[in-house]
Amino acid sequence: MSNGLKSAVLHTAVVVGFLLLQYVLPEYHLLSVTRIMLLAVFAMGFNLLFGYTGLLSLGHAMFFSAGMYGAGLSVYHLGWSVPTAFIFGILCGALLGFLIGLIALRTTGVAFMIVTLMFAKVTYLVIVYFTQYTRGDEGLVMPAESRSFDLFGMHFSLTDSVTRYNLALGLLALTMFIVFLLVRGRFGRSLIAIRENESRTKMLGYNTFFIKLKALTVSAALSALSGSAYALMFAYIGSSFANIQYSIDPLLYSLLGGAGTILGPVFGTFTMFYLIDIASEYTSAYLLVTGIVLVILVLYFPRGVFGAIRQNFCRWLP
Amino acid sequence: MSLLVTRQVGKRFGGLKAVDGVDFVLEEGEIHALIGPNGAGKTTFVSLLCGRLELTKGDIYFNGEEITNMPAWQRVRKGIAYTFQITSIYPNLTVFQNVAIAAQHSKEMSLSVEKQAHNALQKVGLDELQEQEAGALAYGHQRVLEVAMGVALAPELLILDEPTQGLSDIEIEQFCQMIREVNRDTTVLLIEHNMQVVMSLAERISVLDQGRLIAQGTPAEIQANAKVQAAYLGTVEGENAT
Repeated sequence: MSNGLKSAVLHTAVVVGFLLLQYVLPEYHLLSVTRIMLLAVFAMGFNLLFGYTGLLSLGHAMFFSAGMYGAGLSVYHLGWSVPTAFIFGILCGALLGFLIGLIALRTTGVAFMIVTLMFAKVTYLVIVYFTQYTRGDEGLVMPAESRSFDLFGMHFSLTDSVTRYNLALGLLALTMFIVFLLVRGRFGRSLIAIRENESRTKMLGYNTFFIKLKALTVSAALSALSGSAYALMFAYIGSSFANIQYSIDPLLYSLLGGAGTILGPVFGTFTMFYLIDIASEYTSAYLLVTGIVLVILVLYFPRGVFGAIRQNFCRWLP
Repeated sequence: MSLLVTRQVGKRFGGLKAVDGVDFVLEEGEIHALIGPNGAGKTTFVSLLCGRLELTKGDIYFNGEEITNMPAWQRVRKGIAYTFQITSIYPNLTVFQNVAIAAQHSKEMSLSVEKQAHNALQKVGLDELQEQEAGALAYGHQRVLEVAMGVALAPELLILDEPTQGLSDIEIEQFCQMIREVNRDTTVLLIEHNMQVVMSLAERISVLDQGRLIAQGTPAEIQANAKVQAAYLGTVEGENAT
């Protein structure tokens, strides 16, 4: 079997696994895994920039919330249909990513981290500043009309947990496919080249600024896709989603699962989500548990779980 | 037609004129060596040619087209490849991946990236090491890999900055062989300290001293040139080299 085929089979198997999972999961976990799949889309978008291009953004919450508010506000205030608002949310994120990129990509390393962090803070403050429209911290609950929609002659009810689960799964599969195509081809090769040695890459004929801008725009669009879907499926938007925590989470998910792998962020999101979920049943200090896990990870699996698997067993893992 | 021409090219670092009004002509198809004492401005000069540094005055023409203010990546696309003096490869990637990154921007468009990368590796004799991690290669092999990345671009002009530095005698011999091979379809400009390499490879030589071009000619002419001898060996006190 060729390497390309092997990884295609593996990724399809993961999607099929999620598909079958819905028949055995009880209601509560169905909801949890729906959230996990959407957050995994966010993490995969983040990882395209962090893991493949080597740019650590500490402000990805701004792209997630650009999607969330782009979709949520247009439904709430303008009465747009769910599919239109969803696409609009993604476009908002992509545009924000492009504009932020034009400025932030003039910096690298620590400066890039700080610039993105600051822009995320600005985004948060903008949401709070326009409380009149956003209800700031308190947030907005989506109107009842937006809880269902028709598309391609089918009726979708967003109050039905199985529908939500399968829509989230569809988005997860789509994102996986997009990222898979991107990182395996010429574009992916240029991202990795920039990550590994940018000055050399320039001297091999690559316009590295433009490539990084493209990576950031796609990364922001995928993060916004996640935020947009999150707002519409769970019918709530609030400024807490623009918080620093939502910038750090995808970083932790990527590190845990393996930055620079496709399945890493998915695995990381799943594991971290349930780790917190289970730990919080026993103790209020559940963040301590995640802290310890991260310390162990950094000590023994610096490349994350899938990074370690790739290094030791399957070098073909994309 | 001359492949590359510079007119009064200069580069200042503060008060230091690292390159000072150089008029330089590179003919198509030749192997041209750039020599000069340490600190003569050789690396600075080729950095101006490939766009790693911005010049403070003068113009550069490549294939008749002005490239003075063109960014480095665009010059590479036009056909100017540069290999670093201090080895600059992708240490965490395999040898093949290193060359494939370069081959993606090859001037030769008819073949696949994989095929081109493979050809470049074969040309320099690294094809058996292609699955190795580049950072784990012996130093000599890393130097050769550096050149392979230049070759994979299928450039019209390949600029090599001290390629034989740190290589053993046998490696140097193989290296010269490889450069002659590459020269069949590529013009080569090399900065080199090893005079044996210079005399055996170069068809023409340019000599830089304190940022100025003091001589240009065949190896025999350069060896006989009094200015060059003075620059390298110094002059007897009180005596002026002419």
